[in-house]
Amino acid sequence: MKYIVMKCTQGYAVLMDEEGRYVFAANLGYKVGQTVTDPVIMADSTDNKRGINIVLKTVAAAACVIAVALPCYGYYTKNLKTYSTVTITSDAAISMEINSSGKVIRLKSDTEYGREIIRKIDIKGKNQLEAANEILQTELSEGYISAGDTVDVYIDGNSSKECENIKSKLEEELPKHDIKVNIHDEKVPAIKEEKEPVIKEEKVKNENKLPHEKPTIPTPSEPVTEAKVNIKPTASKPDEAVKPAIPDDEPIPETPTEPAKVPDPPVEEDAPPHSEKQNRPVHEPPQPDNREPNNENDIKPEPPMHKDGDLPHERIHP
Amino acid sequence: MNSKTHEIISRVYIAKTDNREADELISDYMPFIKAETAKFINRSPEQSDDELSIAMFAFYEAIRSYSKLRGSFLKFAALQIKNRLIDYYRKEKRNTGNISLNNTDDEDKTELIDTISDSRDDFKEAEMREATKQEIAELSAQMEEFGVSIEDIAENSPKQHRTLEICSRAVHYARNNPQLLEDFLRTKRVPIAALAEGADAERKTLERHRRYLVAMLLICTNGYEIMRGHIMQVLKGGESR
Repeated sequence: MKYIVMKCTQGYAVLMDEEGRYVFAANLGYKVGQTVTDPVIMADSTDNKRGINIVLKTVAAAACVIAVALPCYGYYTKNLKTYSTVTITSDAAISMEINSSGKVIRLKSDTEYGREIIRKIDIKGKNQLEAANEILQTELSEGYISAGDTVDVYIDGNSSKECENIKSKLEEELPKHDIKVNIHDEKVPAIKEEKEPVIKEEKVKNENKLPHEKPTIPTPSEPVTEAKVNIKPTASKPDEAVKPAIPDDEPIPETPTEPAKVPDPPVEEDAPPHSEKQNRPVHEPPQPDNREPNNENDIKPEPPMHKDGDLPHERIHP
Repeated sequence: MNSKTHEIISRVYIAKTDNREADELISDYMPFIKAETAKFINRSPEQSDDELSIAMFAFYEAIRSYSKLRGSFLKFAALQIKNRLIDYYRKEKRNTGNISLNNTDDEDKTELIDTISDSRDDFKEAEMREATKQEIAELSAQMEEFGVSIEDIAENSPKQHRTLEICSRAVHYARNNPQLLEDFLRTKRVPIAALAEGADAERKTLERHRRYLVAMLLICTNGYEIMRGHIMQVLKGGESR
């Protein structure tokens, strides 16, 4: 590229290139007006500064991000991260998620009863013992468990030491209630889904329903499924209550889409849904059947079984 | 000792913005510059040596880029001179296989340049240089009226190619609108708003390079034929858009 020498001094010369740029260059014996090629041009210090500025800005931005992220991460790990889970396996089956400082972060439950209890209690700022006590107290008062029942408590933590620590605390505190508490240092065992016990449980509950509990009796106006129809005669005969409603050798009938196709007319005659009140035990107060479930989905989930095969927390009135 | 150190630093800080002071500083410290050059080339430099010119230029660069945080100015300047000379030698090394035209024949002491035929017309070249010099003198005088010196333009000249293109567009637009140039000469103010609108350029960019635009717009006015011819690429660049 050619440059015109615009100005010469002792220390430098000012040149103009063909693109119209003016640059400082070493005055290698130039004269004003001379056209030169290949001069020694001044290093552009602004480029270096810009490079340094970019590096500095990047480092500063990274430092800011780290400065914000580290306390956030510390706060999260200390307060919001779940370190252990304590599950109280009653009908409500409520799980407490506990942070590193022993505070309950949130309560969880897969059952409707559990969610109902969770709505009623306030765990804000409470530790695991207070929360466990409050859950058990609420379950007792609401009738999900009663005095003398056995409740299993499962502790699932990151380390066995942590689990032991929680276990020892719970063992000290929980026996204050009039219930038997078995504390297990393990995860909640998986529960096998069996049709038969569910039906049996439902049946027993219908018999022993407390006034505030929702009955699982279908209304006559609703489509009656075959499975439900088979339950009712067994419910009317207390001595056959433990027998399965559906024979083992017969396949479980699917829910018919049309109620007209439901076979077994004698059952309808013998035990129509509205005659459920007649099968109720005498000591129970009469209750209105206005809160009836719509279909089979409203059947209460099966609670964990005890070793002796009895359903836990069930109150069977004589 | 301490007052002398402070004196040089204060002089350097003045010279950063005042080119006359920078020239004086260079003149005052010429022995130092020569000594540093001599350390590098292992002989006493002559006034015509390129190494000495580069050393002076390095000293000037040191004045411009010095800050108190960098320590002693003279040490900093010595380092700058050394680095510049290393760079120069590295650049010159590329031409090591070539023979200089100024090499002399041992027998009759004639330089190689004298033995080859010269197609250039020295007279024409000198004439051209003189004409260019006159144009530059005129331009400098006219720029003075706008309160702008050639050094100002060199400092204010666009560095990035993109900025240079924007300025070229603005100059090209002004060239195609003589009324704008007339107004510019009459009012002695750069019509930034009109240029930004007409050339579809960022007003802020043009504002930053106002002094550079003064020089370029003056070159676009009558006269300055040689300089216009030299920067034809810029004007063509504007036309291509």
